[in-house]
Amino acid sequence: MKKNEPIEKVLTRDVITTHTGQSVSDVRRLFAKHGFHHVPVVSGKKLIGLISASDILGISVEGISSDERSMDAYLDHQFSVEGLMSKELRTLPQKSTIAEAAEVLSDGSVHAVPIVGEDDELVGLVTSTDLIRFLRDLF
Amino acid sequence: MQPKRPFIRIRDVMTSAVRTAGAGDALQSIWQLLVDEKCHHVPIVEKMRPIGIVSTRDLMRLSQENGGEKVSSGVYEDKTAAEIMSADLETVHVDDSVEVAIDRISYGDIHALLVLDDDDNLAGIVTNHDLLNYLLN
Repeated sequence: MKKNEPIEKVLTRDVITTHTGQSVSDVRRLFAKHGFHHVPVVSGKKLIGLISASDILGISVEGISSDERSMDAYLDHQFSVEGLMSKELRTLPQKSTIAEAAEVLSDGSVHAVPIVGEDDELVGLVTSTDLIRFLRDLF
Repeated sequence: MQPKRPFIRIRDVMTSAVRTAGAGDALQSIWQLLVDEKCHHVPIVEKMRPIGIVSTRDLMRLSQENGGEKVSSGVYEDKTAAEIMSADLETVHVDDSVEVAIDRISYGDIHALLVLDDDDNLAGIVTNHDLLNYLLN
């Protein structure tokens, strides 16, 4: 059964990451430039959080009605990467299987699951598109 | 030789209940819709016919382009869906094979396809999540 193959077959390595020293407007620019929906937050190599495009969009909509500030100034004044990121993460170990990733992604609440090593270091991300490509080729 | 999947139509896997907006709707209301619904796309329709789509990415780009502007100058408040939507639509037909949608999403930089009926009206949307569940079942 191919779904029991290792997650490493489908994961995306070389993921663009951010860190708590970066400003929220910098993270917003990453989303705008690359079009992805998630950015892992790392401390060194260790995964400590995840920021989604929806997180940034949610605070930006408040910025529309703020006055006398540019959007970026508003974001950076009111928010930080550390305050915004999700810390309760659903991750999978590097040794998990494609079936385990499918179980996490199929409920629709997340579109990407970070894959971590033994010391919580970020190894990569598995997205729903990665899984669709893999499953498509099974037939 | 692997067994081939049965012929399944897009209508059988798509999401039919789609929140839409009109071309004259304010940017802010569409933005709020994306945030409240936790979705990434809002089709813009005229009667039932899709004429554009606004995605999370469009809004990220918009706020980037206007990053240096004073919000109070009305840069955002005065904009309508028509000004920010993408008119370049990625569509499929309700009776197309689901394989068509899988191929388009696998190869393209897209996460959702608008589904049209015989009259080119919007019948639904098919997303990564719909396709993943189909493939897993």
